[in-house]
Amino acid sequence: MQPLRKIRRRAIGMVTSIGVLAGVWVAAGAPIYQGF
Amino acid sequence: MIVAPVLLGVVIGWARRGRLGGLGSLRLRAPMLVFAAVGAQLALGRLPATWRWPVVLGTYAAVGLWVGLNVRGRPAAVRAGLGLVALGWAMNLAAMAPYGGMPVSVSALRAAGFDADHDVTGGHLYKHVVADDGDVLARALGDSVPVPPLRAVISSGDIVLAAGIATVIAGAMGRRPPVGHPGPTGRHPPTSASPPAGHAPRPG
Repeated sequence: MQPLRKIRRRAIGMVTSIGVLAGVWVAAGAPIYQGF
Repeated sequence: MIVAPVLLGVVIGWARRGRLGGLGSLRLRAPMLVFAAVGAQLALGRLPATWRWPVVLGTYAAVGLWVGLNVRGRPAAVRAGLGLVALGWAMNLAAMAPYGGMPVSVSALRAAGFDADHDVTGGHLYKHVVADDGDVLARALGDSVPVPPLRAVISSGDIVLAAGIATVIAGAMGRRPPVGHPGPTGRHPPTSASPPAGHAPRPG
């Protein structure tokens, strides 16, 4: 695989992982806080 | 507040000499389950009040399924983190089930800096109800822990869940042995003086 494509794929994977885990926190967590 | 567990995990990962790039190869399965659950909860305010609790239950079922689908074939640290996520998820669900929403302690709200007449049922993803401060279950598992610096009230399940998410992130970031210290294979990591693998100097 070309290095640039590999870096892009890994960056997308990283953002997706962080997004999914933040989503788990929002969906399964139940804190009360100002601004949400 | 939304990014707190993620940031915590990244900081712990860096402290363990892990790399943010490790998250790129985590490849979490069925991400749409989580995104759909978040989307459904964001839309709760537009639904009739009687529909909200069944939808919340559906979103919790989706997250539970997501955790189950992601445990297999993970490194031990990531599996441990997912175990904590499952525990936090179950604690929050156990707190919410008897009340049709997360019970929120009024005294904890005041301690966190909210107005005494703050309406917890409007906003906050429409999954909260007011708790009786004398209720043992609500006090143990409900939103009863004030966090004044963040102006937030959280549950014990939230704490476990956040620890789990941070553990998954730190675990996925990996851990590099210190320079000069033999790695798990007993081999020293390459230094700047040694050529990278596959680039050995030609003899002669």
